[in-house]
Amino acid sequence: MKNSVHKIFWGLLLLLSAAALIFYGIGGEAGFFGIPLYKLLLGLILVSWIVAKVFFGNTLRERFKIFFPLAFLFMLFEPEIADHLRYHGENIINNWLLLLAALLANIAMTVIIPKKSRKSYSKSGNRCESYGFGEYESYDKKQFSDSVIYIDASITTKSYVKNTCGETNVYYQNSDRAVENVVYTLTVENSMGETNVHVPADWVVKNEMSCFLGEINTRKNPQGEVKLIIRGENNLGETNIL
Amino acid sequence: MAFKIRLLIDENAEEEIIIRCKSPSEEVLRIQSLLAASTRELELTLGEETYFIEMKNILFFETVGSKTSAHTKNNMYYTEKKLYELEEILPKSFMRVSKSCIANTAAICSIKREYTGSCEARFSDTPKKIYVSRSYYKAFKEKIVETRLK
Repeated sequence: MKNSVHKIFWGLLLLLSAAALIFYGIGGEAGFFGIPLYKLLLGLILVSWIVAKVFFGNTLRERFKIFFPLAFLFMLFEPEIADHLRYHGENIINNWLLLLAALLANIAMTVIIPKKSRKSYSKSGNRCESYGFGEYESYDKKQFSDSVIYIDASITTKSYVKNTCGETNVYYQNSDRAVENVVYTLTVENSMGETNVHVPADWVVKNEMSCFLGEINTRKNPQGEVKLIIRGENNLGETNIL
Repeated sequence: MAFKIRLLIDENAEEEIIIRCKSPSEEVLRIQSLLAASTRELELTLGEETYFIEMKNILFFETVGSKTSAHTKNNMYYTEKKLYELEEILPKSFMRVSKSCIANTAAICSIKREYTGSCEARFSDTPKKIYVSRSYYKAFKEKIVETRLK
């Protein structure tokens, strides 16, 4: 329920922004405090993006990746800012220079704040990485492709799946030999793609994924204690727990 | 080449398949190897147990880190052999479909070409599927056509 309200809110906001933009384009003058409505709506979206990154980013590195939304925000309100600063003309700085500066700042943050230290060990032959949530027993990264991942439930209790711009299906195998008295965790990072997690029918799943401009669909759970917790992020994509 | 197929039922007989032919042609040898392969078993492990699984029940092999997994309809086993070692011992119905996968083409029930160039192959009575990469697709398709009647 919370997820669908969230989705409807963002969907409506984007629709309103599009309508306001067209309205402004054909000469409409709707707005507040002398600022066109489309600028206010787009500004709100960009500020929300920045706030989401700064306060809800999973890692320190993520929290500093705000230079592009800041640049877009500046470009959007540049005439108003110039007017406020009594700057001669509407253009304080060339847009390309601003974007280049944002890119360099992003790269700088990537260099200054390294990724979490990785410990890799092999358990049952799977390569593992630590990501700040604990050590994973399986790690799979898929980009720009359709793929299938089979997780052996008899030996792998902590898994990590990253999917970018593709469709990834995750299946749990050997669930009849699942480790007893252990809650499994699956961390999913889905960006601009579709990730389908096929969970054994008798497992109870708890969804703790965060979602930004995307969709997470969960299935109805059977009775019982939680067996699998799914964490991670779904950005601009779709994650289905089947 | 047309063959006569006869089924002789004898309650006291030992289970046996006899191929009677004038000479061992390519077609006859192919049938012989298919029949032999369908009854051969492969030693696989799961946990501390060792299983002997018939080749015809194995859908595909896939590399998982340093090990190789073998998938049947409902389970997933392991073997210490690498994919290139398996290619040498597996029957001809098994073929490499990507860098990390060897599939049993005889168990495939449908294929679907994706717009990205890869091909999704599904198996009967199981939700399991694999993706055939672009570079292996042509050989894979030829194999499928060769073993199926159109």
